[in-house]
Amino acid sequence: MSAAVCDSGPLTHLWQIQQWPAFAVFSEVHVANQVAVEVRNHVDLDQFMTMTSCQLALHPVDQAALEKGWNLVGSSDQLQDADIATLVLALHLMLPLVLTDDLALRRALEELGMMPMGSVGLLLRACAAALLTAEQLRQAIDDLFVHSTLYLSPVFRSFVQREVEKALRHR
Amino acid sequence: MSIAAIAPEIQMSAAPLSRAISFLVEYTRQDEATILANALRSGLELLYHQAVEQAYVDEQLPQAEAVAALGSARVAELDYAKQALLADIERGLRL
Repeated sequence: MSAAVCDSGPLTHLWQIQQWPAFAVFSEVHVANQVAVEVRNHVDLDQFMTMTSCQLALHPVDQAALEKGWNLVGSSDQLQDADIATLVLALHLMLPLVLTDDLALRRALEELGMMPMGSVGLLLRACAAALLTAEQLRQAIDDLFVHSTLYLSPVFRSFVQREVEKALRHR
Repeated sequence: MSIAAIAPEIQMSAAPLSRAISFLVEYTRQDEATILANALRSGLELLYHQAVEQAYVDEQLPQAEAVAALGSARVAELDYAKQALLADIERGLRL
């Protein structure tokens, strides 16, 4: 079991496809308050621990810490305060694994030597941990592209399906 | 092709379509033929870009041709998204 920092994407997208139980691969998920505020607009975050058996820890990230985070990544018109709060929180907690579906945040995290993972990776991990069967994984991936607001263009749907099949065959 | 010949799941119903055309004629002060020609051009461009993206992601189209159609920035975005998904799949099963 392990811990991760999470931004709004996986929390929202996996909620939309009813796959929050996949978060049970972690013992703890840490979320910045700025992200929690954003997520609560779409999702009932209070149900998280009941549905996942995973601890959810919310953390304040103050303005001074945010400014330091912005200084680390430089200016970007694609990142928001909630993204920077996620990055700062991961650095503060020294947790390299950050769950995000945001490509701009992903780039920033990689440049700082951290390890981002998106909703697709989280579903694969749930399958590896036997929380999802291969068939449930296929359905969840399909739902992610059809029923969630995932940023990814639908052109990636068949690509991901193919690559997941390859990975399942070779594991 | 008439609107009625388009599959029901993809057609905009006749009333909103004529309302949209009337609004565009009045608001843009362009005639109906010009608006329909622009709509056809915009629609084709959108479909073309979608098809090029799909062909590129599916490795059915060389990068140079994708860049020529979509621009280098969009192709770089597609490349990064593809690499991110592959990393997620690999990490997901490994961790």
